[in-house]
Amino acid sequence: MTSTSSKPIVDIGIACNINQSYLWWKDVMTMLLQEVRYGDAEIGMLRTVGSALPDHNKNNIVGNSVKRLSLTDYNRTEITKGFLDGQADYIFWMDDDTAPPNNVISRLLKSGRDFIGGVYFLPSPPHHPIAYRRDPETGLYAPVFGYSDAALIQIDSIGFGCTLVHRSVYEKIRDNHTVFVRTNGSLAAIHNSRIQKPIVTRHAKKEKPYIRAGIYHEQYTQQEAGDTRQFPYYQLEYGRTEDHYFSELAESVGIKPWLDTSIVCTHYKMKGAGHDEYKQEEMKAEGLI
Amino acid sequence: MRIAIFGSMDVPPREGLEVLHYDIHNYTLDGQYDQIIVANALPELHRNKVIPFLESAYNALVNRGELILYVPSAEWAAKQIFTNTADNITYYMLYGEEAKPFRACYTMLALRTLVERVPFVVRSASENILKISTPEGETVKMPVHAITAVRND
Repeated sequence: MTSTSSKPIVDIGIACNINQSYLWWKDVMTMLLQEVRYGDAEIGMLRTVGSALPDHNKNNIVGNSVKRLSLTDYNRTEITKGFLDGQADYIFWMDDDTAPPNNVISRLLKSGRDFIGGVYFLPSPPHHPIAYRRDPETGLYAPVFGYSDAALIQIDSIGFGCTLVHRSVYEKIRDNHTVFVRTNGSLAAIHNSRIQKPIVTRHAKKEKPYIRAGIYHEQYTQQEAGDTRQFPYYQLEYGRTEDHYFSELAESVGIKPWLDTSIVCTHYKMKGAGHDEYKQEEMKAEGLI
Repeated sequence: MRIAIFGSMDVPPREGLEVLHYDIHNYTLDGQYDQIIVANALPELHRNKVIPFLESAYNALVNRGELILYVPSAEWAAKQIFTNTADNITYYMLYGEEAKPFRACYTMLALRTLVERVPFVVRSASENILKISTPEGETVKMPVHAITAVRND
């Protein structure tokens, strides 16, 4: 379902609620007003967790039912369901401590990319951008570092503090994956090309996961129709943040994230951190200061 | 497919591909092109001729046609100067050569701003390495900004 408006409709998703500065409000409201008045997008629903709403709305979410103390992956998954059930073409993800610059949504839209974000930085040293490249050997992620300002580059994973995603990315992921229940009861989305039949909904004998000849084996059962849990687009697991999980799902259907380094956010914690703090660290690393 | 190339770059021949080479100081882009490649030639232009050149390229491209720019990285050259490690390639990146002197150098931000002003849609803007041959026949690697932009009517 997509809009019939001449401008694309963009929902705003805010799933994090950890540190919020009063300074955040001015920047974000200015950005949204600019977008509404002068931008190339029509702002749809604000889909937010509690702390990103005024106090009288605590513990509520517009168009959804997320409680403010839920984990970020749960919040994102629930917000995504609301977005996909709605009319919007895109969802613009930000956190309740990231303040993107004015016209951010229009600028990201203009790129024509379906999965693209701006830069925001780790609030504490080394202030690296929350955008990553994966080491093909180890599978581990390292932050993008030493890039040119105003670059527009394809990367392997991106944080969701300033990221625009088209609904087709979610639909393509959903249509090309099957959801299974693991032995610990959690959900896992497996690409259809990696599933060998028969698919089962119940195992006669329950076995614990094991490793044989360096290959991990675990009983998976297909998610049953009565299981109301949402498609697991985001998972906080293995000590990794949920953005890696989503980026890997998107990559498995041929879509990798893009990073536009001309779009720079402030990341508010107790003290705002941004491009200046990152540049200091970059110059130190390069021996320039 | 029809490709226009400014600067010294070759594209491997293939069936149905027409490649035309032009001099950035003296060119007439006739007809429509699917791709225009400008390899290390833009810095040869005076600043007041850059936008007119980019506009010509825009108008000569088919809708969804691509402009591909390779320009020496001003940031990289500046760092070499700042850290006192400048070599011949650094000075070439900043000043060009006697036969083809450079009139300007570009940061990624400056280059992307010019391209978007025309108004191309930038699809990628990354760092790359361009292999160039010196007059002595040596091949050296030069850090460049690589921008791919499209005409999107």
